[in-house]
Amino acid sequence: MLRDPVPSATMVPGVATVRREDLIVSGLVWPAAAVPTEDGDVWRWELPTVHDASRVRMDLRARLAHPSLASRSTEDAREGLLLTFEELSSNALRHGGGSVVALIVALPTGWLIVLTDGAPDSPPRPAVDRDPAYGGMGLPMVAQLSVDYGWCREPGRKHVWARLPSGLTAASVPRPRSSSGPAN
Amino acid sequence: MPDDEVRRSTTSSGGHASNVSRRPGGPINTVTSATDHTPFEVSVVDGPEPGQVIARLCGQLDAAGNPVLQQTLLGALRRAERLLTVDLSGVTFFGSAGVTALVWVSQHPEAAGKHVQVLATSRIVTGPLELTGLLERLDVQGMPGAAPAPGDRPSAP
Repeated sequence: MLRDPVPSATMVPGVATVRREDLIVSGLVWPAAAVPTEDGDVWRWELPTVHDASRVRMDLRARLAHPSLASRSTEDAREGLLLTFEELSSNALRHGGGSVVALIVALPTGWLIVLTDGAPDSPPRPAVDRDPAYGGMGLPMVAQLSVDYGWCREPGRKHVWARLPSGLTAASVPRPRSSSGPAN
Repeated sequence: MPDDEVRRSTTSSGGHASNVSRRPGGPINTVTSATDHTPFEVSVVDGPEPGQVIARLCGQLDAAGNPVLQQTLLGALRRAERLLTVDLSGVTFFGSAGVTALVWVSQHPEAAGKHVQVLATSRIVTGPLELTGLLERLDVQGMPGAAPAPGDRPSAP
């Protein structure tokens, strides 16, 4: 279900003007919100297929674990980023299509990840009461792992983004990997 | 945004000859992965008791390998007359596609009268199960903190 569009214009870094809309599906809201403007090292990949996404994710894991970067985050936080990459990229490839691009901005507090695809009229749709045997768990996982998240569009393109914690800043760190129970 | 770095992934034309590893010794019943590019390996062995089968998965369980994973697990389920143990101790990445495959096989019509058990000894696996709220829906053994001693897998001799 889409709320009536709110006519506020926002800039996606370097590319587009988008409108704010809020997508509300069941209990999980995947809000319409512009990609946050953040400064940091930017990594970018084109992802033609899920197999490419798989290989890029492996490369990303190795990159994050490099001694020069590993001290900036916890292992759990890095795994959270890899999970988010997996879920958003597979969604973009499966439900979006077109030219899929992944972008990660390394921030002092964590990461901003943005997946862009060619389906601006197919917003992220969290599954409603779907049997988990048939999928639909990716967006709820990302929502739990993220500090905040959203989506926006421009002509011909859609951006789905999430901001994840480094794990080193206690105030902003969800605890999705606790063995004591699900994260809130 | 300084230091803009562009990395282009490439589509490999190569692939693995097989995703199935053969473990030395003991009864080996392999389930063949039919396609290249699956980022995981599986070996299927008989369990310690009659009617038990263990599917040991290693590598990455993600969207790229999900169709093959589901069929691989279904093949193992068909071999198991009573109990299928899905051993995820060697899994190094576990996305929602892996969770989906576990739920799918555990409630598959051919699982009627059988039991599907999951062995998960790392937080790489238990984390996504917690996030999806499926830890209680699946029979998960070997949780971190309550794990058996290393090497204490319910494996065939």
